[in-house]
Amino acid sequence: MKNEETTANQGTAGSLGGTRYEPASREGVAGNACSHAVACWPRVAAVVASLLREIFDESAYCRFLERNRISSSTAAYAAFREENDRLKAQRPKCC
Amino acid sequence: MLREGNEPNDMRISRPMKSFLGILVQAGLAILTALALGIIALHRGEQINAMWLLLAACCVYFLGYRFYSKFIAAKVLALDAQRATPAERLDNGRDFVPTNKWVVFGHHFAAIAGPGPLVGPVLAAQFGYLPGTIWILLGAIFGGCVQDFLILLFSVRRDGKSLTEMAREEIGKLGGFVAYVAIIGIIVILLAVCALIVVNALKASPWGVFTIAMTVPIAFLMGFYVRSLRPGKVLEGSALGFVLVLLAIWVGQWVSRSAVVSPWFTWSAPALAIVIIVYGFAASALPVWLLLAPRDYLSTFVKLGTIGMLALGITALRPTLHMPPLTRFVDGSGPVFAGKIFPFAFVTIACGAISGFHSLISSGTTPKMIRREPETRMVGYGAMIAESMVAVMAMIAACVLQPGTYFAINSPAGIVGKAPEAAAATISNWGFPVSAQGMHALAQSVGEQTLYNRTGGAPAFAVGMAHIFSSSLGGQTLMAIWYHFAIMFEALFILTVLDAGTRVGRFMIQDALAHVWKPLGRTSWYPSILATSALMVAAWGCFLWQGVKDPLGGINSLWPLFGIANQLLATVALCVATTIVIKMGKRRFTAVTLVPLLWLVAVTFTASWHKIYDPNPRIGFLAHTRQLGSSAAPSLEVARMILNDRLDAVVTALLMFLVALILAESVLLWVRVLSGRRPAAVKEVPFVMTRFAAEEQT
Repeated sequence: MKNEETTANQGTAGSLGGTRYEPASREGVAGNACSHAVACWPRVAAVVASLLREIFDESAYCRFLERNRISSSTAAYAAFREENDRLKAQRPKCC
Repeated sequence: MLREGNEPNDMRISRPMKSFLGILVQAGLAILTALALGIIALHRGEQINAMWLLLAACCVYFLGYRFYSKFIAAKVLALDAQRATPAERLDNGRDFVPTNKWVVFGHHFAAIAGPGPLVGPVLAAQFGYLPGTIWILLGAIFGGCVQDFLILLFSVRRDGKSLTEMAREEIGKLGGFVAYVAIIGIIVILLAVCALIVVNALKASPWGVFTIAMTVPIAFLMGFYVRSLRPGKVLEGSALGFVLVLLAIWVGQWVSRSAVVSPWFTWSAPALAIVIIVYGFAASALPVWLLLAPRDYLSTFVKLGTIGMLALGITALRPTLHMPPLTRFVDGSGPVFAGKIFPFAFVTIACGAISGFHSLISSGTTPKMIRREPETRMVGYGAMIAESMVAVMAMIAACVLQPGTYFAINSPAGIVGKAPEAAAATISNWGFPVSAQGMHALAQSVGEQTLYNRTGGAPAFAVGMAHIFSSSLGGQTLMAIWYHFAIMFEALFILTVLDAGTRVGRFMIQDALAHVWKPLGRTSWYPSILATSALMVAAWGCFLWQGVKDPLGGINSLWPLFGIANQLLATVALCVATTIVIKMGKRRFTAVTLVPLLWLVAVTFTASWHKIYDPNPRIGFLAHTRQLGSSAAPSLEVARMILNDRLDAVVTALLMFLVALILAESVLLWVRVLSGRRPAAVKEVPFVMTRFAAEEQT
């Protein structure tokens, strides 16, 4: 069972088509350039939010919860960190 | 984006009309590029606006991406949208995850953007803005972007294999070994250089030291927040940390003015070096969640925000460049570092044009997130363009300073003298007027006691950045705050590279030592953790100590060494890429990787030769050894400096030798493949049809 926080997080990713890929729907795109630009903004915001959540490992934590079918808690986050820390610490930081 | 065929009738434009408009726009852009490049290259005697640099950069990047990367994607690599990527085939919800292309782009950029593109251009500005800018633009378009793009795609086609694994499989066992040793070498030198930059930025600066010291308890607090208070809410924790860091900068002003507290945070360079060495060891040996992870998040938060702010500040202010296009130091007598434009400008710019380190990221986490092959073009080529743009902004930040101020900050005491009057007189005699009073006023305005001899590039960049920020927001009253914000940003950024790099190096040493004695490879066994952490810290610590103690060396010796090591790694990456291109049967297009490879070989081997054998003691390690041996009275200090010079010479020669080996092995393989004596077979994983294409059509 996922708790409300987890579901809400996945909702943000879902509006983008997911940080994880889902086929993007192009239906409902406005017919003129002006309304098209306006319609783009929520999508741009969703991309930026998803990007930040990926960089800051929030998406990875959501995937961890989903994979293990557990809800967010101190213990769950500790388990996630334990799983991810060696992987993260091995990533080279660029110059 | 409008789907073809869905446009309303009044919006529909016929195909020939569209292509005519496209040609018109592209021709206009080409003319604009030529105009902008012409202005920055040919303008003499008058100062130009920084917008010309930005305009030239944007046009060159656009044309490079639109045409050159498209050519590579279509002709050389034949990107296949139908081919399933490892992210799709091996999707495990952990490291292999098919991810939105913009998210991968941002993730990749955040990983490749380090302090190199900020510091390198600032140091290279001693030649004037022209050589550095041209190399940043051309080096990125024809070298750095190509390397990142190709290595990313080749890794994607090999289930996300690392550069070392690809070198071993495609070139030979020697290739894999050389890549491994080159990576350890570059990490050691990089960490020493990074630590030295931080030491030079923070020495005798109570405000800076206080702010950076405060990031440690702030990181602990963030760790507690994301682990216990709000599990997993890293963005919230980072935003909280950022606010606390801003508060620390504000309180730092009071600390620097307090007669009681200020001396606690006023440290000499050797004292700071010791603290940083101890910190590096602790960060490597402590559990990662305690310090490393929260600092990493905080640093990334600050990094992305500051780069965005700098871009906005330059665009809003449109500052004038005071540095001339070419200075008198093109002859190799520069005070910031010695050596002529060729090869040293190209070695110094480093990551802004081409960086071997990027090939580690391109064959690390990124290929495991790519969901469709064609997206490697945007992520690999495009993210390097963004990195190169950061280098252009750093060049602008350095060149908006008055040249006299720039040289006063960046010249070591051994060249211009320790006394302010003497330094100002020496620099003014070079034709770059600066006064001791002016420098004193500038130091006061940024809340420092002095800005002389702040070598390393970071303080000059911070002054330039503070100038741009304060002109856009807050005026002179906020100059000190902006300066210390910039110093905090660079130091935090660099210290994160330092602690993460030490840990990565520790893992690499443990992996290697496991072949000697298995328990040494156990990453949770504390005796092994302590021993390998100490080994790694000692390796970069001795270079750092040398940089701190040597009045003529320091960044002057170490930065070119770092640039050489970094570009030698790029040489290894381009050897791998050229080998694969030849094995793919694309010999007609070998020039795409061979030309940048030959250029890098020429640059790095010439630079290495000069660093070892040049008769000028400011350039050649051995000449410096001879000078020390003949002129000074024998002492322990002189003996240590001689030992350091010999160590530098040996390290440079070793790196050069190893890369010559991999080059020779590659050339031998190319000749065999091209003459038909060896089959042209690449080690790609077999083709599997992607399910995404079918899903998109339904």
